[in-house]
Amino acid sequence: MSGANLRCGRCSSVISDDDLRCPICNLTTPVSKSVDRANPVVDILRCSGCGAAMTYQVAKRAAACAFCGSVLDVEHPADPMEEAEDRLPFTVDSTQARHAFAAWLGTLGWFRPGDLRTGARLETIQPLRWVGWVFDARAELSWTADTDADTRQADWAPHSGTTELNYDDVVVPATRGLNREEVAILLPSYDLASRSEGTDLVDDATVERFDVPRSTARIRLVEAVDGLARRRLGERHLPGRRVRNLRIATILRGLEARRVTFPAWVLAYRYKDRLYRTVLSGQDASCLKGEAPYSVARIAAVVAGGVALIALLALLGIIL
Amino acid sequence: MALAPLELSCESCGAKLVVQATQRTARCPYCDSPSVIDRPATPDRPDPVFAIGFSVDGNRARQNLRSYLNSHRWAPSALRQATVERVEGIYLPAYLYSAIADSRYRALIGEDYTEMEYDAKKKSMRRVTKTEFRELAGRHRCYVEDLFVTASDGIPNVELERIEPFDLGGLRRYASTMISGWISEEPSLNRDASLALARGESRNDVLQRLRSFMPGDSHRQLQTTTDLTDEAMDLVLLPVWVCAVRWRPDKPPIRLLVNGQTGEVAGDVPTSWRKIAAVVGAALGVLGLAALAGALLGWFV
Repeated sequence: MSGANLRCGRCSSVISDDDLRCPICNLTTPVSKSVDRANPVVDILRCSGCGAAMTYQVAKRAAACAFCGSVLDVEHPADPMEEAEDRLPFTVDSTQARHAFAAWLGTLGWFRPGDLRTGARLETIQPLRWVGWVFDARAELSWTADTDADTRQADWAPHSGTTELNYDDVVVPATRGLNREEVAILLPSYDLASRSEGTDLVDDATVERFDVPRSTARIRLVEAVDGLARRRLGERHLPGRRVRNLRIATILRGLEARRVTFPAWVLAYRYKDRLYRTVLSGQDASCLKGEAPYSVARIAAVVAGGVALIALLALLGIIL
Repeated sequence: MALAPLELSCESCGAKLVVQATQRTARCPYCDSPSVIDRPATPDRPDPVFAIGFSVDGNRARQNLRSYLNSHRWAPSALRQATVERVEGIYLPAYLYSAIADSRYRALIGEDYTEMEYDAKKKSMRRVTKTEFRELAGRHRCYVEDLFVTASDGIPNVELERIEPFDLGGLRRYASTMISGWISEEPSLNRDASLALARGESRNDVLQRLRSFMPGDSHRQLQTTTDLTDEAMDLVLLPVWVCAVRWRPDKPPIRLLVNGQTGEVAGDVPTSWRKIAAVVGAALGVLGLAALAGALLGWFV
């Protein structure tokens, strides 16, 4: 990741040059101005318009001139909606996506309509760059929990410990266009090392935007780290098989997040007047998540056959 | 050592001004020009790093004070009806403290379980809940952040705590534009005293966290030691409306504070023992009358 980042002096997390405080540990960010004064300096704020003295006015939340109304704005901390910094390239073009889609239609099994492959009509095929954060961080976790390890009379025994977890290239989706299931299927197909490298086969893709300001994005990242810590602790670090009352205190360090776009193909096809959607990774055509109709007739036939078979067996039982 | 007042000439009209060492701002009594004085920073009187601007104006502060006094039914009537006259908007110096808290703890953790026991009275088995206590020791590390402590010996920390919280979303880097025309104090409490307050508050905060950090169904004998490292303390100017209400000539005025950002009011409002005695007396009188009436009508025969 980029090396020119400003880092917090306490937790080493990456901070923006317009942050007032570190978003992770709240340490004040260094101020560049440092004026050594030997004597007191007396300052009267003057209105640049009429020369009158300006005072801070509550209604304007800023210093304003009582005579001509001009306002000196207070510096507000920036909280922008940020754009993606890196993009993973499309390595699957639209032809490959179409072929993969057609092949997928043929692999859906017997419970789908027999004419699905021939009857499905592809309406649109859109390249989409969906957005997410990719972060690195270290977490020092202190935890306590009741587990079923080392119990005596009670079913639970108290345990405590400290664990260090490292997160490398963990993706937190920020997309609104794709749902959680689609993202979960597509994620393993991406090569995060290919960020901003390699030939991009598509250059007219719709680029999703991060629809949350920076402050909210950071809250979501920290929540994601906490959620991940809880899962990893439960899976690997706690003794016993059953756990309750898991409590975690976290010292998060070195959080560095990049805003990345991930390539995907979104296909809409029509089968018998209904639209279905399929999403396909832009880096691996075999990685696909889609909706498809079921054949009611075939399912009914199987159910009827099953019922008939049971009835037949019952009849045989009675006869024998 | 008390610092000497500063003598300066008004930049607007040239009149001589005397500014007390505790004041960061001044107004010329002749031309009403507002000045902001930046003195050389010292360890006990650092430059402000942040300020939170006033969002509540004087009228709203007065209304809130009025409602606050009215809501105290047991306060002396003279105080509830007292006029709120002088309300001063002051930028109060306070320190914003943060640190890493590294604690070691030891406690007995209670794990409940049930057992069947023979009840000799009922001559049957019954289910009873018992608690097994197990010792647990460990380490707890967390960030302590967003903690304000006073830097003014005029407003004690307990008074500041009562009008907290301040919304840190309103924190801005200090600029003289934020305090021009308002009263602003310099820190009057030395830095070590404020640091001691901050450490005390932090340890209390961590103790609360440790109580809810303990597993089990209950716990007892929680012992903790907490080291605070990577400490940081920055001077912040907080917006506070200060009001002294004089309600009897022979009593000292009471001081009420209004959070200049949220409008929250706090202060020590005295209780009128006369009012309480009157209500208790009236209640006893009603009971006595009822008893008398009952006796006359023969209810208790």
